[in-house]
Amino acid sequence: MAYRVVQWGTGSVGKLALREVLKNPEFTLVGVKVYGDAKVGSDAGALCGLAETGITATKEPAISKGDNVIYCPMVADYDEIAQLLKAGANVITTASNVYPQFYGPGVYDKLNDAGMAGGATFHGSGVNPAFMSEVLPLTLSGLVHRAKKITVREVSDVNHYASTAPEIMLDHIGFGKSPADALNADGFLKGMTAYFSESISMIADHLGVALDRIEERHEVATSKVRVTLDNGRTIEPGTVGCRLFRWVGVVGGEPRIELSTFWKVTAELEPQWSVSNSKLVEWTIMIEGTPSIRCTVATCASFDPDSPDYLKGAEEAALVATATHAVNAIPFVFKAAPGVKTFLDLPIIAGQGAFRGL
Amino acid sequence: MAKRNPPFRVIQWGTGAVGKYCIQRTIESPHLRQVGARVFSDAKDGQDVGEIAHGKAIGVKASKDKQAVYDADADIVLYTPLIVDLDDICAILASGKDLITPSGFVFLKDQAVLDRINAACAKGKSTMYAAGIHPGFAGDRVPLVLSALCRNINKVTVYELVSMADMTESPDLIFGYLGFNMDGETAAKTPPPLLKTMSTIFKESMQMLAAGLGFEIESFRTSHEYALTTEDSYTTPGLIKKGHVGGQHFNYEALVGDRTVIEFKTYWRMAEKLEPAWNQPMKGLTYIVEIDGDPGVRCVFEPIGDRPAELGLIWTAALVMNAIPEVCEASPGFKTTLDLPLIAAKAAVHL
Repeated sequence: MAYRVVQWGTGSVGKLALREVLKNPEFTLVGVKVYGDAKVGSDAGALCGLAETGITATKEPAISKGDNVIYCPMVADYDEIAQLLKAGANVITTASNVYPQFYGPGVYDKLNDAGMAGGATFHGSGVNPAFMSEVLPLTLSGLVHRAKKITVREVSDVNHYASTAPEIMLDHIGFGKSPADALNADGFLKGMTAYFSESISMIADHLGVALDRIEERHEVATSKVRVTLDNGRTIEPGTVGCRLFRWVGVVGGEPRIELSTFWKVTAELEPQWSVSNSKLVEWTIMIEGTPSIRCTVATCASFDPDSPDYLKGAEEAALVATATHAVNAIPFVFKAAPGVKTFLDLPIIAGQGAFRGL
Repeated sequence: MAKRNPPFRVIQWGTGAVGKYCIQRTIESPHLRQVGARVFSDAKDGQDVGEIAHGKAIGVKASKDKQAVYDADADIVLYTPLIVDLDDICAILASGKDLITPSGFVFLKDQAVLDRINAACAKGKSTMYAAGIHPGFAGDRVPLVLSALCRNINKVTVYELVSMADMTESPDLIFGYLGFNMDGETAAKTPPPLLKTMSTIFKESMQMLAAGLGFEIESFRTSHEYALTTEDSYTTPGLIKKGHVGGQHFNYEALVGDRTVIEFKTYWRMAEKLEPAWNQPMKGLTYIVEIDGDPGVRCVFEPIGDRPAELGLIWTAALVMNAIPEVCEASPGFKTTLDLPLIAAKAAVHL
């Protein structure tokens, strides 16, 4: 039996999820929800670069009990999700909510009660935050007898992203702005703070420690050179060329869980931070304890030096991973008991069926 | 509702290197209580369990008597003997205690063995689980976790790179059992004694990875290579003379048809200068998990700073200890990494 899937939203992650659902024989696409009038009536295949499927995108796709919704808008609409759950559809989202407990009973109970009423499961997915900031560090923590501090650091070259989504990277994140303007928090950063705070809370709760608070310790470095993006826009010398977002979970007055993300358009920085020139998206997880461990993870098209794609396509790979992580969760979420189920409640979400063509 | 409630009462079965770490951690953990130990030598019989693990006396005596373990009121047995005995395992489980072992059993394809274990678990309402660094973590749990990110996988390769030059293991183990320091001529005639044991336990690990990824392995291929030192090499266990065995490479492959889909490559080295000169860094202890797929994923983990000589054993002991809460809460029966939730340093954290 193939799992019935409804793709909700076809933005940058949504269309990759849609593509995976169509290409993987484990899944049957039964509906596509779109937000823009322009996309209504489009064939699902056309929305993700595949052949025609006969499934047409609409603003109100029909939902049946046992459907699995891959919910990919930028922001979660809790009323909408609760309705889907009450109708009996499992919901897997890439719009944060990996640990809805963080938002308090108002959010958690709404999702959990709706799931119980409809016999459906809610699960929040993602790569960072989520996979790199919770699943992998907690997995690695199994190697230590005592943990004193958990640090997760992402270093991403965001040239491609800054070029394709300048409204996010330049306007909201502040590349090319003065340091003062960039550090002036806006709504976008508030969203990121909430998402990474979910991760910190999840780790602390699971490990059984009480958080004093979560602190934001953001910094910027300016570019020493002019960077010209593929879209023609420039990042001038002296303006922001690297952003360090950092959230720190404080326990007993000490920084114990630290999640940070370096986004850079250049490694020529003032101050001269030691961020590598690599085009890879790299994550480093450190657990200081007895014994201490360091783990580095990277994704790209290929790590085979003989491949033409060697070390290429890192930014695309991170997006593919985000979509795939959500899609790979479908069989596990489908089998799970109703209600909110986080990574802590589900088995390992292995890529079942990922070996194609055997 | 939890099957058992903390503090979990722990019996240690076997007090070798891993067993001693388990005792030390059990004694210092508020959620655990050491209530017994099964030992094998007359010298240890009747000794205080804390003292066996080089700590303070805790007022609990170790015993050679198996029946005492079966009769004891306890929640879990950490089963770490040198030689595994399925009769003992089943008797422990049937006596109502959960069991965690680092000695094989990460995944069971042998239905007869599985049936025996499950019958014992049913009788004792108990759970069995196997934990360890490799097999148990580097070659199965980690690639399974990472595979969540991939929409297509062609091959999984897992490297174990170990420098053993500073190991505090006995020369008997390193030079006798593991076969280092043989001259080239003897080495050419002598298959490594460990190959058979290791290929069995790594097969289980590969089968679990395959099961999690949704396919069946059709055949296995194993190979081994000695590397000889090109200069005299001074190591903690002793001198390795020029031209003698200073490195060993075990290679385990799982195939579907004639295609290798999983490969475990272990490189153990005692010396820096080797012939063949492996293109691997002389490092303490490093695991590399590589998924050739879409996207490709590469994960490297290693200790920070100086490596304790027995790091592999410490990691294995940590994985055993950290599994206790999940195993004590699991439903009865034989469980694998595919069945249990994420195992974290839940009870070990002193943040």
